[in-house]
Amino acid sequence: MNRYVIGIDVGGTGTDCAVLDQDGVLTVGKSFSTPPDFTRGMVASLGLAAGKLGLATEDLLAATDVFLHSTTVGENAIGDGTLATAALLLTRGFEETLIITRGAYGRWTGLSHDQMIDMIDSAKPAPLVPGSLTTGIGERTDAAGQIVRPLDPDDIAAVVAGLGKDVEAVGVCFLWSFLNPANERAAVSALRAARPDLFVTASHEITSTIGEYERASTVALNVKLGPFVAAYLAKLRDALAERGFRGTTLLMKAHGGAVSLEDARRSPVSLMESGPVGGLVGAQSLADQVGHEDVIAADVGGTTFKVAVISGGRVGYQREPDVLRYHYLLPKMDIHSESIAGGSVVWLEPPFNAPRIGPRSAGASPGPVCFGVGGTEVTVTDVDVILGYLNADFYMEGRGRLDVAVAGKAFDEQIARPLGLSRLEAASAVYRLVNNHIHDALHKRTVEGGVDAREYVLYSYGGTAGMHLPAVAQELGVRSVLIPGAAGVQGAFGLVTTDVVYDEVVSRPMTEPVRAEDVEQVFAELTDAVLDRLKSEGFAVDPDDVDLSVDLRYTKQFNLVTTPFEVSGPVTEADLARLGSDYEALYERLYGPGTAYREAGIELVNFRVRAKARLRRAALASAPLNDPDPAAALVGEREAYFVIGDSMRTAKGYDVTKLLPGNEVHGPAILWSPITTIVVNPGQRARVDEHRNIIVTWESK
Amino acid sequence: MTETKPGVPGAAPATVDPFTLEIIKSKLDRAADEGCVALELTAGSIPISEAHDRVVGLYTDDGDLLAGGAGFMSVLPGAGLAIRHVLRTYAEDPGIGEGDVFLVNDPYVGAAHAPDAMLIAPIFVGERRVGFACAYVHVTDIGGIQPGGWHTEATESYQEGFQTGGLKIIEAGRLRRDIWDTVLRQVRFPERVTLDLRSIVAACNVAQDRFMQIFATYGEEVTLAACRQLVSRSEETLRQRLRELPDGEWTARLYFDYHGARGEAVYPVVLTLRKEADLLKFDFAGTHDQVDVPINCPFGLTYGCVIGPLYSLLSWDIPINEGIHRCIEVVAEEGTIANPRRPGPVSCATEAMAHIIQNLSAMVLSKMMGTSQRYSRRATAQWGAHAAAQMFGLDASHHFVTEATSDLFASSAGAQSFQDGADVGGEMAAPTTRIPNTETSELYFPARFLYKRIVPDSGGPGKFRGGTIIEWAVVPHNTPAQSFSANMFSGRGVTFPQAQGIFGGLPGCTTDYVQYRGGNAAEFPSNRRETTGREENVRFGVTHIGPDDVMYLRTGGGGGFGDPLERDPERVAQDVASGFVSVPAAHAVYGVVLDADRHDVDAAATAELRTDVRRRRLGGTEPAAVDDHAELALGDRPLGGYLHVVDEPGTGPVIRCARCSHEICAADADWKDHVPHREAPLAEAGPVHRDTGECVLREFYCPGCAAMLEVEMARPGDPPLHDRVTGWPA
Repeated sequence: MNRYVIGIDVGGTGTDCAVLDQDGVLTVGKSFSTPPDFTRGMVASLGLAAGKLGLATEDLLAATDVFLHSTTVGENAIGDGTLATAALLLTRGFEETLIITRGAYGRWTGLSHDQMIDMIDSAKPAPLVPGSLTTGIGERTDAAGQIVRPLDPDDIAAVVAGLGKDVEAVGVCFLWSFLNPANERAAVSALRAARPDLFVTASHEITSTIGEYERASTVALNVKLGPFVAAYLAKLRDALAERGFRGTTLLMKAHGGAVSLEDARRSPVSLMESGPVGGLVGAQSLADQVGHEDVIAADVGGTTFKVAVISGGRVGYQREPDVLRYHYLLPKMDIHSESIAGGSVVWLEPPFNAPRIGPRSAGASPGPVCFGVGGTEVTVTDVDVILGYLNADFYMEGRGRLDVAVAGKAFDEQIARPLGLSRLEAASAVYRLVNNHIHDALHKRTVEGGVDAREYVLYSYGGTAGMHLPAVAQELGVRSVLIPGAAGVQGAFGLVTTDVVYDEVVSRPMTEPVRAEDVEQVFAELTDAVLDRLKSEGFAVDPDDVDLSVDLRYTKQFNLVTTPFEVSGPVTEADLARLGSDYEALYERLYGPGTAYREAGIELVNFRVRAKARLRRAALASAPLNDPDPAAALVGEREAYFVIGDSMRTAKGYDVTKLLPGNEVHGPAILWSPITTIVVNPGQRARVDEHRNIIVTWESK
Repeated sequence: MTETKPGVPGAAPATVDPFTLEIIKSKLDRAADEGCVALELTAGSIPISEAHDRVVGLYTDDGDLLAGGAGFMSVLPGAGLAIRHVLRTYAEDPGIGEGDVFLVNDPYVGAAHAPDAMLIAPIFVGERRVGFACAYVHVTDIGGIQPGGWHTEATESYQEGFQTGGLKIIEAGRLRRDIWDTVLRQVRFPERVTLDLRSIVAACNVAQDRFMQIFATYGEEVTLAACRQLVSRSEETLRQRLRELPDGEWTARLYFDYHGARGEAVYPVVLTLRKEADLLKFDFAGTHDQVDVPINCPFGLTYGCVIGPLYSLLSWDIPINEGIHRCIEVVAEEGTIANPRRPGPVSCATEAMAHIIQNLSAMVLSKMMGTSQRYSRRATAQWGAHAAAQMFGLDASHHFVTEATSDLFASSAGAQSFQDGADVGGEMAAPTTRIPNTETSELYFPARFLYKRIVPDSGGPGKFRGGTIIEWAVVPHNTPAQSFSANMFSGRGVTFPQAQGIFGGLPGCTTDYVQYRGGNAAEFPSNRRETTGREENVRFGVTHIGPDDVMYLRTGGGGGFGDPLERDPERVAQDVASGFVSVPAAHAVYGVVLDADRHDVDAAATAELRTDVRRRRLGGTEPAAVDDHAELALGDRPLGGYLHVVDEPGTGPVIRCARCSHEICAADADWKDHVPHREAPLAEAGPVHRDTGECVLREFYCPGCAAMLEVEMARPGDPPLHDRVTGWPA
């Protein structure tokens, strides 16, 4: 009997399933998400994949060793406000930390440049925990980690006595607890002893970095989500068990690795963005397999555009993540979102009819005009239809509607006619504008990441990506574009290629000169804690799979640079000297030669341990390469616009599912699959590799 | 070397196609934006990285603003003046060549103050100079008599640190070692200032590069034509908007209360906006003469602070560039605190006068917008005030350390026509500020915070409440005894609130600076009430903080919008539950009675109390009964707040109260002369004001329903302010 690994990614609109068998063969299933009971969508996508394997769902589950999961359920709960009633305990004198939100920071976070400047129509989101449920506790630790005032037990007793019946969860965040958690520990143990029914989180348990506002906000999110996510996970476990699953269930965490169900239950806030993170982990696995060290991963779907940079196989940590404008701080893969995507509304701004793309999105509902499900405003997808890219025979396996005529008529009325342009002139101009915005968004990421685009390959996934990114990539000057074979279920694909990863960080600010034994002690404690946790959960770690790194900066700078720290035994002075010079080299790579400035002094702030327990699983199977001739996959010809050369051309159209590894397609051409469309411009060449990835290249200038 | 002349050869296209224009616009924005990113990632100064005290702008070859990143917006117009100064002064000698970078930080030519070091870099395409990139940050130190850049003890600008009107620190791409070293010899902490200056260079480079890429892609003629077109579009859009607004005259007044080494003084600052057709003329007539304390506001900053709030209030959806400035004229007589002559000291203007001018501009603009059906929604009360200190002392290893408390940005939003001002919402014209975590402050400075919390009743009462602010207190911690001092550099607003309410709203709370000598830190006080000691009040200047002293500061609250008696009682109850409003203030200021457990509104008692208050406003006359929840029908000639102009058959247009229809006077009369009014003590605005009697509330009521029409904040005896609409749009 074959054995399997299953990954299911529950997103806002779609639920994707990927199944990997013991020979490395991948099978996928795609279904709609079914909130609020997400298990129905999961079972449906699982059923589709099982069907393709010729199995009943129960038989597939019985033969599965590991079930991996990512979910958007946390984001949904915050968006809907279906959160627990939670109380928060903060250091007395600092009770309003979450209302103060570090001043205007809470107002401008998550806004576009234009929204930020509008001081009238912008406000802070409501505090996660209202003032009436926040209590100041008598206690204090100082900047040296010394307890200035021990926890006042009477204060905790009063809190316990005064908790309303409706309170389901309590969070605790005290000043400087990341240096010395004694007061927090005392508070939570008293709470847990008195009220074992409550979901309780102390900040040092989930986020041990400097900054009481971000920690308190993280804790608040965690306790607001805690009871809800715990119920979700219990339901998931039951649904799987009912259908005969006896293996291990793992959850994708924002740091880019799987963790136990128990760990996920304790830190639900870390599940935030686990879907896109899964997609990025998939890109990382693929890059590893294909041999790409440096990758820009871009996901252009219906509502958002997400971009991340993989440099030397690594993804950086995001500095100031927020979810729906609420800050949190945890080890989280650095993924940035922009609001340009297929659903972005195309409009003309009065009084000059200046063409604009977004930021408003028609999303899946009412959707683009061409979908015929109620959308009346022209979107990027409508423009893609008008330019001849999308093919109704393929779109959603022929189940979706694409009404080109209606889209064209709406486009004429809303855009072309007011501008005095023909439909084609206007549509091609909008297309170029969209590409410009995507180009600039990618460019900004490369600037922030210190990336020389010429060294990078652009990975392109999501429904809208293939129609725009090959042309944008050529302009950006990257080496090539890779559209993953599993591009339509990239998140689920990432799940079946991930490993168990625990990633912990603690702030211990130190200014050079630093003593080796101090650094050794921080790392020894942190590493022991991580390895003990993995061991207790039954995972084995190879010593080579424990990575240390330090966040450094020039003294009093704000920006931190995460620098890998390799040691072969206890930390020595030489190791620290090397860390300093590695930091400076990295700094200059990021910000340009001559920017490093040792005289300013170096500060070590955060210490990180990332330990990986490898899951046993087959490598992805590769197929033999065939003849380059793609003729067997040809489905016809059509007229379409190509931005390279700026003209209408007769393009050959191909069915991606019939293309064989080794086939090569020369532009102008369009490639269709049920989940994506790839536009190959004149002068570009698309090749199918042995894993069914499509690689688009061009003659570089 | 000769200056390359800007200008357009005959072949330039008249207009650029709308899509290319949009792409070039977005690329200009990106250029400024990416410049800001570069700046932030590499700067070494906490005001930049934590508070985003910086800006990056792109300018044309004439010094016209093209695009500016989100930051301290009020600096963008002054930077244009600085570029013009460089063009005027240095074009011939030493010349402005490719790869040159000028340092400009003289406040008398356009810098905000000396520590805001501005770098100006010309941009060349081929032989032709096409524009300038400009960036500034507040550097860690600039020399002068006190560390940090705010020289509270200065009596003339010569004491305020190193200043230059233009110094070529980079020439043809090469750093001038001699000049660089000379500059760094003037400052404390040269290592950090080096990081700061390097980060500004990096920001200019990035903005420059992006700008040149636009030229490379679209060609010189198209790019320049697009730049011109973007500027004229902004101008045209704003002029069109101005034509939709009534013509008229609106005046606002605030007071700078100085309490420092040279005694106590009050300096009025008055701003009148005259709007005619599509032009806005701001005039500071009536403003106090310049003084020998460093609060004078140099003209470049005055100019920028008039414009800064306008970007957000009136032209929020218009791309920010010179086109907006072209609709604005700013007049400030030389020799006043709004336009001092050298050597008037100016280093603290950024924390005080700048804010006062922004608030005055916001007020006259809001009053003008209040007279438009279409734009009245965007009116705002004034925003709360700074309270800041530069702390210095020795750390545990006896190293000298100093830090400005970026908690100064914990000011708050004024209330608006439809919502409360954001609590601790920041700065009106600096959209991206933030304050540091307490842990970050304690990491870098040997002090321990006793508390940092919201002050109840600090937001100006109104139908919509002004944003609340914070108070905080520190004690020296792990520092050698007697080493700790603080330089209060924004001290004002202690006896005169700095944020007035609008259309009947009351002012936000006063700021405060208290040193509790021999304080009770050991008892862990967690708010002001619990803090005790012998009180001293150094508010402007340096004070020593001994090992047993507690240093306390409070920022100023935002103003309220509309009559507090109109506030929904449920919202008052919520504010009480959240700790934003006290029970006594709910009763005395809002006229709301809560039941015994302080949760629920006693509706009947509230209605009775509110009628009582209104009756008192009318001196015992019964006020007209009005449904508080009814929408006001202001028609197409509103006067802001509750008043509007309507045609009266026979007598011509008259001013009426839209709440109760009471006729007040003829439309061309000054309505304040025709309504009951009363001078009330400041304390009636709430319990957090320090009421010394120097500042009074001048309340004007509707004779019919007793609605509070306007509240002036004034010195007793200062004349009332009259606003006039002189022409309604067709």
